Amino acid sequence: MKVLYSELKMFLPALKAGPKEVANAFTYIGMMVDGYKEVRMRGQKDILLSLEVRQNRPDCLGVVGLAREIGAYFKVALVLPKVKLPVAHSDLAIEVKVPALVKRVSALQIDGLDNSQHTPKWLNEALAMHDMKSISFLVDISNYAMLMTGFPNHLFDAGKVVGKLTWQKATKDENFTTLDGTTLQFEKNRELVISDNLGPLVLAGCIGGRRSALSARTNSVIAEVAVYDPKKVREDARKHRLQTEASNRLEKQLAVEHSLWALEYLASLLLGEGKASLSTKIVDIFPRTTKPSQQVITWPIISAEKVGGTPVSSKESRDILVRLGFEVVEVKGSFRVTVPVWRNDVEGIADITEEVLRLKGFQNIIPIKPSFALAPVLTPPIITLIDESKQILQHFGFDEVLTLPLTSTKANQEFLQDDLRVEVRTQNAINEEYPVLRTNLLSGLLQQQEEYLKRGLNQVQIFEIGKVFWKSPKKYQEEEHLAVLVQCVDSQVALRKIYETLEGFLRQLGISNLYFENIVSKATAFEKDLFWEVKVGEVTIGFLGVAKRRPLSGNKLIVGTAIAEIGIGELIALQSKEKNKGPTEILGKMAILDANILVSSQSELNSKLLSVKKKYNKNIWAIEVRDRFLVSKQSIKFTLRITYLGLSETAAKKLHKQIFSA
Amino acid sequence: MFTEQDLATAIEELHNVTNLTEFQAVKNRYFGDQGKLTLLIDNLKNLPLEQKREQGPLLQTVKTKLHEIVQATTQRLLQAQGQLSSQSVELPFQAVKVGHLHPFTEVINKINALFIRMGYSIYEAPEIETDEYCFLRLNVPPDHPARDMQDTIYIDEPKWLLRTQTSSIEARALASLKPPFRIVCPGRVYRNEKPSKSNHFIFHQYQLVVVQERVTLAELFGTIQSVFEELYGEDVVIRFRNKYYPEVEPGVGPDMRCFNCEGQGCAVCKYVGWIEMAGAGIIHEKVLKAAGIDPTKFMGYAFGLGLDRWVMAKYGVSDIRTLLGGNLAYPYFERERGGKSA
Repeated sequence: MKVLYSELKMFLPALKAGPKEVANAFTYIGMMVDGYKEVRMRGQKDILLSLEVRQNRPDCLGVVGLAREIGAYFKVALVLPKVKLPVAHSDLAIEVKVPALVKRVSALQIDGLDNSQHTPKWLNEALAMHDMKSISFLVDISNYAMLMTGFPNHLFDAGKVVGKLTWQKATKDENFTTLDGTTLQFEKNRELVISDNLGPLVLAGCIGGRRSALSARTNSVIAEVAVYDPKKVREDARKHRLQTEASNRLEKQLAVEHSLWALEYLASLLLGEGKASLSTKIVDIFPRTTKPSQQVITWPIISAEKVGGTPVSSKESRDILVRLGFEVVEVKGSFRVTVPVWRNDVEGIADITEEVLRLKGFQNIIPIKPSFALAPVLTPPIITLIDESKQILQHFGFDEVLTLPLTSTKANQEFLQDDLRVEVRTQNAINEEYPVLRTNLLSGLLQQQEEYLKRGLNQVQIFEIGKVFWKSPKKYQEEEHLAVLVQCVDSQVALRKIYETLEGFLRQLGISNLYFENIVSKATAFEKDLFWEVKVGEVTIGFLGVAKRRPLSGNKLIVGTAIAEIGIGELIALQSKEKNKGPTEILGKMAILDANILVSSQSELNSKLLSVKKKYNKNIWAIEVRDRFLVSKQSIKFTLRITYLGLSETAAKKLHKQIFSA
Repeated sequence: MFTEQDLATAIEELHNVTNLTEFQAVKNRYFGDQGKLTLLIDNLKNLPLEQKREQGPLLQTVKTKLHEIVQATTQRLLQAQGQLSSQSVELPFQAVKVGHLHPFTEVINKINALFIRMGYSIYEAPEIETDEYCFLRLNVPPDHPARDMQDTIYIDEPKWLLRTQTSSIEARALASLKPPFRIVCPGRVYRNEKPSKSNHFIFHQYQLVVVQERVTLAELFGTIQSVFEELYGEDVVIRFRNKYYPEVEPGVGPDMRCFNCEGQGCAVCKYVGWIEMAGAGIIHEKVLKAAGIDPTKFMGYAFGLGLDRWVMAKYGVSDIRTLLGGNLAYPYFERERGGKSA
């Protein structure tokens, strides 16, 4: 919303505060000024303010509403222009058939106008300040009245209206051409329209139609100001993808009590500028039998002080509320507060408290630094594990990247391991290249690698910890994963590095018993035969492999890429079994003995050592592989060094012999 | 000039060596005093500037790649000979890669550390959320105009969506935790927007929720000030103004004095001297009631910070797309960039 300083002064003639002070005041009381520009208006220096009016304050979508706020802040009375219309006796034929949707309609007819005349210069300038184009003399007056009052209005060319104006639902399926030439398709009993005897003339609250549009020959208009059920305006505007100045205001709760004044203000401008005459009396239809009663709220006087954490006296609270238009009566430590009709946003005690505190000024509340408070620790273990994992990988020389959780089906399918994991598709994402949520992290890491290679970066060791998503038959699932990528000139080197990284990473977390099982994968992103399941004991926690070489634009150098992805959640259960065994008190000398062992593969050695460790854990401090020798293709000789704990040398030798002589 | 074919040949030669003697000969052919690569690198200084710019980075890349494969070959030969010690063979210098955390993680860790010191827990909630937790429980009914502010990506309209704000984590916490509690929740949120230099369809927010017997705006302001000081130092200037959000009452908009112009007005702050950084307020009693918390017994405050602009400002990132899968890179050697991580 934009407003000129001079426009505020029009309604606040006694305002002494300058434009800078007014801008600051707006910002502090809830309408942040994000533009302050020196301009010229009617030949005078002026200031144009751009400010943010939030959805709860439709009363401030007109200059009068903004002036009312500033008047309350600076303790200056609001002066509304006196509108006195001439007397007319003829009736205007209008009818409201949907009283549940039309809160109030006020209308009148003015004759003797001349829409061929030029818009006065001041009006042209004023509209331009509000980012509106001049269209024609009468339309410009209509728009200006809306900007001042905050109430949209509509002018019909009276000569084109046939019979009675009726507010009703569309009576049949039909096309409707708007003022700007767009064709809308109305459905029977759906849209709220204003019709004459021939059919719809206006999509109520949104946009007028071409059939009754003003032209240069227009000399007589029917003017109306109406307030509708905001939900209906919103529904129709959304259905037809319309966002107009009118719908923006009417889909919020405007004060129905003020709409008649808005019509009178419009009429006074038309009669004053157009030298015309009022040909009918005002027809004012309040379809609801009783006027909505004003809300009365009992507000404990202590509320402002309690919530603000700053002293606020009873007198200060009362003064502020009265300046804002509330009626206040004190009753036993509380105020009975009658809410002004234009403040539909004020519904309860908290709203009144906010009114007092915002006008007192948040800038007058002194911040209190928070102190430590004992509170139960609620952090779930997975958050701690993720933090720990990131630190470990950083120390291993990996860079963390974050990639997009929205991706393409192709990127998901390349890593598809499990047919049961159905990808989650968005319904309305405007970015067509990212229609689904990722089911893996690796496709994102490979895309990141491409970004690096395009720019000539060749040391790529990256990881990401983030969520992957899928749909199971009954619900949507989310799971934290870890993915790592190592790029080397040789895929075997990359594979070795990633293997060591995973092993070291899990050991740091207190998880051992790691091994890799070579299997045939369905995932097409991996080189054939270079795919392993990552297992801890019997539990599969993820997979690793060599990524297929991809055509990389701008970089023709040969690249080997090893990648792995594991589920972080799986690690929590595994971690708790092995972590935190605590220190051991060493009372005697350690016994260190060497042994040779002949096995067919590294995994056989692992398996043997794990069973030894499990069985004799109490007395074995460490097992170290000192040497390895390829005896033949089928056998490898490993030299091990075992450190025994809590045993005499003789007892250690006895145990050593028992373990390794078999 | 060292061509792609030359590189392929070098790699093949290194792959084919079967013992350390052959290996040393191949290595000398490229890295020795008169080695092909050594001479080309020595000759760089004699090339015209244009060629130097083209050849320099390429030769550096080739050198690094060959070093890697030389290392791998060394390991292979040693293993084949049954030797495990790498000390017996002279290896080319290879610096240890230094790892980095993403700027979002760095900033989140910093704020988390502050709040953990003050007795807060870290909390999390789903990114695929229901309309109930993202809107309804936060005092935003289906026809509320506030929904226009947040262009929602739906999974299964109207029930399932991608959360548009970390306030949905607040709604989950209010529904499942027993007061009093203090939590913080960093998280990712989604908006249905086209990505550009300054806008993305994914944002990062940091939510704080406190529910206890009594809270005040003064404490909320102090808490927010602590976060700003943690991130920007004690000289940071903050102002608090009233701002409407459906889930809080009173609502607060904390702004920071523009770090670029120090309040004088510039393009960064749209010439107003202040930068809007967060949304906050006293939790609306309707929100507490919706979670089954008695507002006569407990009060609460909440605030949500947008992290993206903070991170961009702190790390000098000009394009928001850089932060997610873009061209964000980290220095290999810390000292070259004076220890900064991005």
